[in-house]
Amino acid sequence: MKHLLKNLTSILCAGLLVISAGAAVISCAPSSTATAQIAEQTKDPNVLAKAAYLDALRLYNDLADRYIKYAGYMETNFPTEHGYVITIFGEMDDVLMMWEGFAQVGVIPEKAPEKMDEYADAILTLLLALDAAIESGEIEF
Amino acid sequence: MTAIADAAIVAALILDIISMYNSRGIEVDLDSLSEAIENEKARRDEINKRLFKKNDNE
Repeated sequence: MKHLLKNLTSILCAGLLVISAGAAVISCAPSSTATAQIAEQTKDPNVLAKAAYLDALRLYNDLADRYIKYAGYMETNFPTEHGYVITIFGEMDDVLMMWEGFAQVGVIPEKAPEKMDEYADAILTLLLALDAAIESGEIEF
Repeated sequence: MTAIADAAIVAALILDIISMYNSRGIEVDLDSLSEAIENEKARRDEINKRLFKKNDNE
């Protein structure tokens, strides 16, 4: 148990370092969201709402796609945390299902972007920590 | 106006993820927007099968 906690603490610390480095990159990142691209072509809020839904879908898919690679490791070594992550993805999926209905009529549901952001932050922190721990050799994958 | 502001929030948060995680980019315009949405929905369906199936096996 002590070993597990030490491992997890190391993972989270490494993740914070990576996040700090990542934050420095954000300011010079190219504009590559669907919303940003569509906003260059129209200011129609109905169309922008659909683009925002597309970005939310991509956010979910990209994070889930990356997590699946670690799912087996997490399930074996950190089952509680794995269950927590799966729960978060379930919540995100629920938000997206609700969002889809709104997107069809050109509306962004209230608080949905903020919820997605909150969930994504939690998962991204874990993913970056796992990446860093594997790269540094702290965990074998 | 609120929808535009909300869309800007979404764009900002997705851009954060793309920047920090080197996600694949997307090229979309008004003509391809609906198709892109359908493609991502299909991708989500496939991902969910793998993601939640693993958890169901616990």
